[in-house]
Amino acid sequence: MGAHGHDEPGGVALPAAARANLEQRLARGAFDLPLLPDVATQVLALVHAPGADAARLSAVLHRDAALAGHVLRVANSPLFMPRTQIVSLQQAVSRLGMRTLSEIVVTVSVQERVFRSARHQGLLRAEWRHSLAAAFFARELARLRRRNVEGAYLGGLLHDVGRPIALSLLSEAEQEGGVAFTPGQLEDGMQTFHVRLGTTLAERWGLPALVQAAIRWHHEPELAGEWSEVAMLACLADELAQALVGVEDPAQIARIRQHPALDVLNVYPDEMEQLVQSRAQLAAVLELSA
Amino acid sequence: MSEVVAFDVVVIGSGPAGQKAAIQAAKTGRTVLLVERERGPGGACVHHGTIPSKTLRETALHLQRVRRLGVGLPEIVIPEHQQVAGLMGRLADVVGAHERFIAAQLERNGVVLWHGRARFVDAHHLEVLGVRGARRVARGERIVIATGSRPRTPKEVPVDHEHVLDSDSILSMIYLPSSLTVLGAGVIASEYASIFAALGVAVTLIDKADRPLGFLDPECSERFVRAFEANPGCRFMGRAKLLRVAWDGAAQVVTELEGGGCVRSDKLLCALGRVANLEDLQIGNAGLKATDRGVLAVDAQLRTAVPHIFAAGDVIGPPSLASASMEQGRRAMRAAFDLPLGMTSDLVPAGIYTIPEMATVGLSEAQAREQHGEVRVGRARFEEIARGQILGETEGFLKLVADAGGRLLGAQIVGEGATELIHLAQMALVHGDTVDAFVENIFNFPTLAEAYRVAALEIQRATQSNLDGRVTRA
Ligand SMILES: Cc1cc2nc3c(=O)[nH]c(=O)nc-3n(C[C@H](O)[C@H](O)[C@H](O)COP(=O)(O)OP(=O)(O)OC[C@H]3O[C@@H](n4cnc5c(N)ncnc54)[C@H](O)[C@@H]3O)c2cc1C
Repeated sequence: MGAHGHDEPGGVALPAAARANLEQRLARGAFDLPLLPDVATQVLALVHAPGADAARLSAVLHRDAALAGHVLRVANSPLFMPRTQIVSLQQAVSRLGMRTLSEIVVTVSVQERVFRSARHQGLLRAEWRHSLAAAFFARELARLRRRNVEGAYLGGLLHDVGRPIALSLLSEAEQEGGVAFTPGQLEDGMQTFHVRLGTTLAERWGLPALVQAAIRWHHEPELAGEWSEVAMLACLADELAQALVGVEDPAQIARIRQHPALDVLNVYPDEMEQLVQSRAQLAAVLELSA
Repeated sequence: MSEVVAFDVVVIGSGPAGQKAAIQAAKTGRTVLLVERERGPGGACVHHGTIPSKTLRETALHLQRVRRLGVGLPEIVIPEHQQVAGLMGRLADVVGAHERFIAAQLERNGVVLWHGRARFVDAHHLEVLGVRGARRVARGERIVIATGSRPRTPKEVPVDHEHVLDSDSILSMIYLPSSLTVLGAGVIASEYASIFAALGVAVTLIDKADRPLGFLDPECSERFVRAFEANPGCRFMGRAKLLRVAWDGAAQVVTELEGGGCVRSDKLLCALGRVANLEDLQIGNAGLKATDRGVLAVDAQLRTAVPHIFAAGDVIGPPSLASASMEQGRRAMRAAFDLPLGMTSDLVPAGIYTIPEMATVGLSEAQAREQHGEVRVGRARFEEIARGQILGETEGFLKLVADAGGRLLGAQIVGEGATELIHLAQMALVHGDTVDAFVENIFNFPTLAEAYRVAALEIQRATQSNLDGRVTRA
């Protein structure tokens, strides 16, 4: 909801001209969205195709060396907790299974395509850490409430995917106008545009409906209709990630204990405490952001 | 203690037992509070049990029917990554309608509903903790514990609700897995095993017993295993001792068995029994104790060791059925207010929604022999019956067990409609009828109920020839 690790007291608003300019670009669709890498698109298509087979998947992955390297790195990370080290793609495909692998491919692609840029590197890094932490909390919440764990993970990971995209549009505006926005202005810009941008991206990437709902509704879960639980889950994971990553914010933790999502998801105080305590495992997850 | 709100009756848990207890108490003019820790009323029955599983089953059954009857129609193949939710399209509607119906019924009867988790402060006071931490206290002159049960998780099965699931989380799977291991061979295990098998999943059903559904007549469980194993890739592994279960950290769940056996599958369902929901309640504060089996002991009137505290439903142990729980809830309140129980019977039919469906009431053949010595058995195969032929129902059968004089003692049915058909036998048992009742009355034609006639005729013939024999001998 707020900035992730970059809160600027007194939050300055984005200059009106820049805001109007961005509004217009969004209205006209005059902006580039990062493409899901070809390979990732193919992997997603393959995994969803009837009769998908592992050999074809591994062949597709081999075509993108960078992606392949990252898949191996992530596959070996604590997030996926492999029993034995995974050293080859072949092994990754057969050991991880297609579905886990597609999750990894999306994670890696998103990091590469959306969360990397020459400008605002620190900010992007913080955004990525936030996304990983939200994915972690969404997964734990889903486990607690017996909701689908895999879908919750992707929803948490991607709920704020519009923020880095907004940031890249803001960067373009900075370059064009020869200005540098303050962190407060950048935050205002991201905050204003991220849901619309994220939703457009999710549609274009053909992400699962559940994930699209998390992106679209995580700030207004009460309007999410049939997706209200999914949205509430993403919303709460978002807030937990904000409160518990980096410098802990006791005031925010206290606010979360009164969050309306707790009613919808039926999370009792002791269960909430359990979630807050699970942050001990978060450090390992965040190694991925390195 | 915060302000105390007093009620004549406080019911904890809004599953089938709690609902019926609350409504029965309200109908006698008492003030009633119903406490439920989940958001909506309904209990395991509506949210994790009966209704969701039966909604998925309906799709599986439909598919099977089409396959069975669909001569000349293209083969229906479920795509490998079919979304489970897509197979339960009507679930939200069914659950929503049921919830609304329950809520309206409670409201109509003036039952007050509190959302929160209850615990005993003492034998008359309950503290109810809300989701946001608010605490309220209620006093009940009488209290009903109807907190139900949840899946049991043995330590060797690390349920993570992602790869290793239980009956609360199994339907949260987004995609239909290609393979599934099911641990246990009770009703829940067998039902899910056969539902997923019919949906094209390769299911391995593993249990320590030598046959599933051990409480059933062996003829029924054999028929079940045969039908289950006819699905490609499905098998029952009996007499198997579980060593451990582990997610291999990558693609599969590995189930290791004693003797070196090992089963790998995409997902695993642990259905190794249920435990009563007692730990949140702090029953010790009310002077109550769980039995060695972890349930609450009650007398015939559903009264616990503390006379004004009653218990009903899964929390008191078997039969752990929604149907029985409702009746227990109702009875507890009638007993509490000294109302006549009416013509109640201890006879509880069991309906097992496997594919094929099964049902039983009264004694099995073995039990009947044990208790009555000489017995008569009559069978009817559905394929001998017009309606069975029309339905393409070749697996089904009905078996009646009677005493030597032809008085009905029990019935077992396998096949479509079994859970409905069984009630005819139940009514005959309640009235102490002989099997003649099935021969002398007219049933609709063509219906599966004709099976009763066929089976009863067989018993009549046996009884007759026996009588003739006796006459001859005399
Ligand atoms: C997969 C599955 C399939 C089934 N199929 C059938 C079937 O086909 N036919 C049949 O007859 N039965 C079936 N059953 C069994 C049936 O669901 C149960 O027997 C029935 O729900 C028991 O009713 P109950 O009221 O005792 O408890 P429950 O339905 O478990 O309800 C208890 C309620 O108490 C609440 N509660 C617990 N602790 C507290 C507390 N401290 N404070 C406040 N609230 C609390 C719980 O949240 C819950 O809502 C099935 C069960 C499962 C799991």
